[in-house]
This record gives sequence, C-alpha cells and structure tokens, in this order.
Amino acid sequence: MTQPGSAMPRAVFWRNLIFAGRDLLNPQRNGEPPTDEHVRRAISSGYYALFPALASSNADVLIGTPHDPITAAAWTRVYRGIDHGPAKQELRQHRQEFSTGAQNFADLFGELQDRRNSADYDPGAVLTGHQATVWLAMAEFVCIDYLQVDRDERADIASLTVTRGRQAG
Amino acid sequence: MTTSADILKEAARIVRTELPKHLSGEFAINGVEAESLPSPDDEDYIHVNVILEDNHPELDARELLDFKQAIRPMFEGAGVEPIPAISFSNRSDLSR
Repeated sequence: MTQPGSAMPRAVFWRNLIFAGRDLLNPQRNGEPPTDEHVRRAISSGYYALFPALASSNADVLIGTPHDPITAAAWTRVYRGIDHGPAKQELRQHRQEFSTGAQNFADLFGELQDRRNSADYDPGAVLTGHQATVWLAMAEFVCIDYLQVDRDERADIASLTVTRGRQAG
Repeated sequence: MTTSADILKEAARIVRTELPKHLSGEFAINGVEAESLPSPDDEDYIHVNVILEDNHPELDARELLDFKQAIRPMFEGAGVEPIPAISFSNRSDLSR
C-alpha cells in the first residue's frame, strides 16, 4: 500500500513486458535458438503484459490519475484488485456485450492465461519460439486496441474484473 | 472435464479449413493438431497447434485476430467448447 508522502504509484508498463518477452526469444549465445525455458518465460511475459494493461486501465477509469495519498491508495487497490481466474471467467461470460477491441482482449486474456499455465507448470507442453513470437504480437495489438476502447466500456469491464461482476441491488 | 476426441478432431478441421482464407499463398500448412490440456480452472482447455512450413513471411497478428473472430461462431456451432487457444509453430521448431 502506498504510504503518505511516498511517490505516486505507476503501472507496470505492459509494452515493456512484451519487449522483455521478445528479448528472451532473441538468438542466444553464438546465434543458438532460445532454449525451451526462454520460450516458456516469453509466453508467460505475453500474459503478464495483458495483466497490467487491464489493471492500469481499471485504475485509471475508476479512480483517475492519483494526485494525493488517498487517490494513490485507491488507485493501487483497484490496480491490484484483479484475480486471474475470476477475471477470465467474467470476461468470457460478458464478451458478447463488448466491442470488437474488448472482445479480442478478453479472448486473448483467457487463452494466454491457459498457455501461461502450461508454459509455467506443464513439463510436457510443446512450446516453440514461433508460438511465443505470435502470442507476443497478438498480445501487443490487443493491448493497443483495448486501451482505445471507449472509457465507459472500460469502466464497465473494470467493474466486472475488480468486483467479480456481482449484480447490483 | 475431458474434451472428446471427436471435438478435438472438429476443432482441428475447422482451423485447417478456414485458416487458408486468411493467409496469403506464401503460407503452407503442414498440419493442425488439437489437444486437451489442464487449465488453472476446473475445466480443461483446447489447444490447437498450427504447424506451418518454414520460410514463410511474418504472420500478421491483426489478421490472426480477425481469423479468430471469424471462426468463433463455427466453433460454437460445432459444439467446440471452450473456444480453443490457437498457436502457430514452424515445422522445423518441432523437429529439434
């Protein structure tokens, strides 16, 4: 939690996580291809780029730019309010209500969450450098497009992914 | 929940049939494989791996997103649930 007097919080920059994933795929020593472990971490980076894109969007549309200790604490609470599995379920359940940009983001959030799980935990998963390259490219585009989705729609999505979509009333 | 072999076969068939409509002639599909894998949720997820012949141009990620939008109703109509995650591999990657 942000303490009074401390610097204002800032989002992890999603695009740098895409770049970090690509760095992992660059030919390693002596031009050798990336190892299986590099590929796994690159796919994981693809998913973890989507996460701060959604988290920062949620915090920005619900709280706005933090400018004092109270708004900084609120912004951070919302930013950290996403639970991976429930967020995926809410995005899947409501995708038909979304614009195309939000649908693509919602779809990739679920797909990459599953692929990240395989990359991180399944020793038998077949993962390739080209797979990771394409997942990272798609992740980059859906983040760009999602952050241009209408602010009201992103506020609706924030309410779904931070509060687990509980019905009002 | 385990996805049936028939559903996996149908998922692969749909991708194999529809993907060429979204790619230029410079791409050649060597194979399409579908598998059911454990998900962090209770249900498994379907993974479809498209194996491309090497030496193709860079895939257009936006076109792939359009492709995924286009085939979603086909998956739903064929009872392919959950909607598959689709990966793209080069053939040489898999022969290492």
